[in-house]
Amino acid sequence: MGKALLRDNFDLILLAILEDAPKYGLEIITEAKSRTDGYFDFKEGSLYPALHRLEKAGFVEAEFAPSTMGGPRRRYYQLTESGVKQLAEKREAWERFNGAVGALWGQNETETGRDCK
Amino acid sequence: MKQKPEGTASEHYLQQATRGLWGRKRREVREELEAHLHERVLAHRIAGLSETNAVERALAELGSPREVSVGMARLYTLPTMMGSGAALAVVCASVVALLPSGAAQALPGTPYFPTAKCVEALDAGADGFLSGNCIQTNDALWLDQSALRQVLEPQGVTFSKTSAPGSNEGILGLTFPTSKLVYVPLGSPDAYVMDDEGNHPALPGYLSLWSLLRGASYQDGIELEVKGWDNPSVRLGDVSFQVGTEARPMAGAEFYASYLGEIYFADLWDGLGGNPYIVNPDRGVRHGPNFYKSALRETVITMPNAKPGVYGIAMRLDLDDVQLDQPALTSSLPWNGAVLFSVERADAQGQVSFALPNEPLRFVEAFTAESEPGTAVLVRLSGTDFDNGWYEVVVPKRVAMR
Repeated sequence: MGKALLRDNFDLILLAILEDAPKYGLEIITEAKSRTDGYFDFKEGSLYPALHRLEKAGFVEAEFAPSTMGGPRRRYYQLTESGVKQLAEKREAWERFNGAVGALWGQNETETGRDCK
Repeated sequence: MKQKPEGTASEHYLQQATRGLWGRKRREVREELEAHLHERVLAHRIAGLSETNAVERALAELGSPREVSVGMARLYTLPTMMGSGAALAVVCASVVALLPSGAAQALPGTPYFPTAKCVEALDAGADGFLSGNCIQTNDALWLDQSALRQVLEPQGVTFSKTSAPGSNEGILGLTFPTSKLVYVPLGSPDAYVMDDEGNHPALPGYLSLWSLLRGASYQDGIELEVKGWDNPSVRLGDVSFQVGTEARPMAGAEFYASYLGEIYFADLWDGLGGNPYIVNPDRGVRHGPNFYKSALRETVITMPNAKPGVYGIAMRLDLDDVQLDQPALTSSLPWNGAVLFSVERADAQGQVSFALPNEPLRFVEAFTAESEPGTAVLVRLSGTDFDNGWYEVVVPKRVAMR
C-alpha cells in the first residue's frame, strides 16, 4: 500500500476516527498514527485543510470548546448524518476494492500476507 | 523573496499558515493551529525539551505553513466568504455580461460600483455589517471563466475543472505553459450578485481576479506583472490579458483600490478595526463616510529607489477623530475604527501625492507585525518583481504633508 493510496483514503481514515466521539485536531492525529501503527506518518499541518474540507462538504461539523490545558480553544469535530453515510459508503467501497485486489493476488482476505515466500 | 523577521517562530508559522484568509475565518484557523502548537509544545517540554527546542520540534512536526495556507485558500479564499460562515454571502458588484471583445487580449472586467438595492439590503441588517461593507473593495473583480478561457487558451493555458471531494463547489485549474498549475475557486451557488432589480444570479462560472493573481504568485516560475492605470494589463509568466475595454472600461482607481483591499485583508490586517472602508476620498470613489475637504491634506511621499508605478495606502483611522460630513457610523463591533484605501500613480521620480486626513502617519510593514502601533501601510501594486509575490510593502523615503 503506497502513500498515494493513503492519500486517497485520507477522508475515510478521518471519518473513521471520528466515528465514536467528537475529537479535536491533535487527538485525531495521535489516533491516526497509533491506529495505523505509525504508518500514517504525515505532516500534521496537512490535517487541518483536510478537516476543513470535510466540514465544508458537510460530513463533519465543528465547534470551539475551552481547552482543559488553559491555552487557546480547541476545535472539536464530529460526524454529521451525512458523514456517517459517507463513511459507510467509503468503507464499503474500500472493502470491495480490497476483496478485488485480494482475488487478483490469489489470496483470500483472512491471510495476513506476511508469510509470502 | 525577502524574508522579514516576524517575531517568534510560532508567530511566523501562524501568520504564514493563515495567509490568504481574512476576517473571522483567519482568526479561527489561527486559534485552531495555536491550540495545536500550544499543546504540542507543552508535551515536548514535559518530556524535557527546552522552550526553544520544544517549539522547533512542534513546528517541524507541523510541516510547512504553506501546505496549510494553500489547502485552506482553496476552500476559503472566495472573497464572499465573510466571517459569519453563513451560507449566504452577498457580493455587491454589477456583473457585466461578458462578450468577447474586439481586441484578442482584452478581457472585459467587472466595473465595481454599488447598486442602490444592495446598499439597502445590507442596511436592513445583513450580518451586522455596516452599509459601508456592502462595497467590498476586496470583492470587486469577478471574471467570467469562459471569457478568461477565450483569452488564455490561445496562449497555451489549459483549463480543467475539479471540485472539493463531496462538494459541488467548483475549483478551476489553470495549467500554464510552463506546466505550473494554479487552482482558483469558482463562485459557489451560495455567492450571488444583487442587481438593481434585487435579483440574485448565482456566480458559479466566475472567479476572482485576485484569487488568480495570488494563486499564480505562489508558484515559483510564474512572474506577475501589472501595468497601466485604466484598463490595466496583467501578465502571468508568458501569458497576459487586459482588464477592461473601451466599451466596458475598468477604471484604474477602482481596479487598484480593489487590489489593495484584497491585499489588506489577506496579509496586512490584524483583525482589529477597519470598518467601514473608505476609498479614495479625493477621487469620488467613496463608500461609507465622506470627508470634509478641509480634513484632507496633500501628502507627498517619495519612494526609495524612485520607482514609478501605482501605489496604495491603507490607513487606519479613528472615526471619532476625523472630520466627516456624515455622522460617525456606529458599529456592531466594539471599536470605531475605519480603514482608508487610497491609490495613486507615482511620477517618474517616484513621488506620489495622496489626499489624506490630517492624522499622524506611522508607516509599518503590516499591522500584524508591529510591537508599536502603526497607522499606515504603503504598498506597490503595479510593475513586477514584488517582494511578496503579488505586491510589495514599501517604506517611504520621505513623507511631506502640505
